[in-house]
Amino acid sequence: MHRKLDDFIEDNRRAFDDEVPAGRVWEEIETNIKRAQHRSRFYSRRWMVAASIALIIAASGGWWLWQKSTSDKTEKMATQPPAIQPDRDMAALAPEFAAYARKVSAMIGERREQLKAETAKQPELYEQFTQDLSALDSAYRVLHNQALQTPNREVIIRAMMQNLQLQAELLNKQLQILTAFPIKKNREI
Amino acid sequence: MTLTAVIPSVDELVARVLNGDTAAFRLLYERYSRAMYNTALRITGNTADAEDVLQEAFTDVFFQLRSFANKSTFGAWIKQIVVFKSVNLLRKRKISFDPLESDTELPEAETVMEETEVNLTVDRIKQVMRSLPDGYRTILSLYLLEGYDHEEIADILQLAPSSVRTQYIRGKQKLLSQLKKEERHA
Repeated sequence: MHRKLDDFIEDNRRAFDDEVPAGRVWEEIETNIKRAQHRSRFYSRRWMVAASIALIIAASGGWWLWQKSTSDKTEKMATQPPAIQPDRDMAALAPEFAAYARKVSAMIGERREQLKAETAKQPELYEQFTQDLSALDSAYRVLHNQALQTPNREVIIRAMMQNLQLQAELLNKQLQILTAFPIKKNREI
Repeated sequence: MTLTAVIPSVDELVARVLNGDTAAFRLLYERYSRAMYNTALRITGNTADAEDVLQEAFTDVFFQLRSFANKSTFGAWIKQIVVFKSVNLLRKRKISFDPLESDTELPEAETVMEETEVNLTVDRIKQVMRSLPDGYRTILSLYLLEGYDHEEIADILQLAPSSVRTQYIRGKQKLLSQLKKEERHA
């Protein structure tokens, strides 16, 4: 049968794809993906830890300055209530921020729940995530205690609000990581 | 139940991967890997390189899936990635697609023939294609098998469209004369 080359190839196109790639190609792709995801998680975590540390340093720096400028002897109230209550705190300290604080803390609560659900199968991951949040939480408590004891609260209240925003952002980031690189489900195709 | 209900569509699989179902990516791989491997193999000319291209291409596809966002069809997008990677690999091997530097010799007058004179089979075409110089093989593959036109090939290889056309004609003549020669020997 004599036919034009173009037509012949077009009519038999599928027969030209007769070679099969080796099975190891997929294995390597899978390894590449896992390695990249792991690296990304690692760097994101490092970023979060760095942000938390920076905040703690800033908060304690502020605390030290305040301590220095006031002669009152203050007792440190390092007790840790089960959960911070920014809406109530703000209602007492700065009513103008109360509504906003309520919104942000509701968001924080919601996202914490979401995070908990997303990491349900990996409690250690939830643990890691919440460690960074706890650091922010205790920084918030320190600030709150200071706010209760100083007449000039404005700066501290601002720091408290920033702290809350950071918590919300941190949770956002963590949820983003979980969405972008979900925990591999234990199921095969 | 209809067949389409059982086999998820490509769009569905893409959406599933984007929603975090990495297992769906394996289904995408299974659907496209064979065709893409053969595409890479035709351009690079050897299995080790074709496997490297396939591996890199699918890894890139996984991480760039969000940016794909239905700009074209998934198949066309992934083929483009495979073709570019294959061509780059040839470039790294210092293969020139420029006709001035590659084989400029015109097929001898007596070998220029009508296509209808040659008896064609898939195996023989594949075999002769493999033996062609990289430039001709690439251009013929892209045009005849991957369905790119001369302008698109010119873009991919960074050549003038006229140069692609000339090389295509020469390459095709070379392919046909080889096929004829083999036929005579057979």
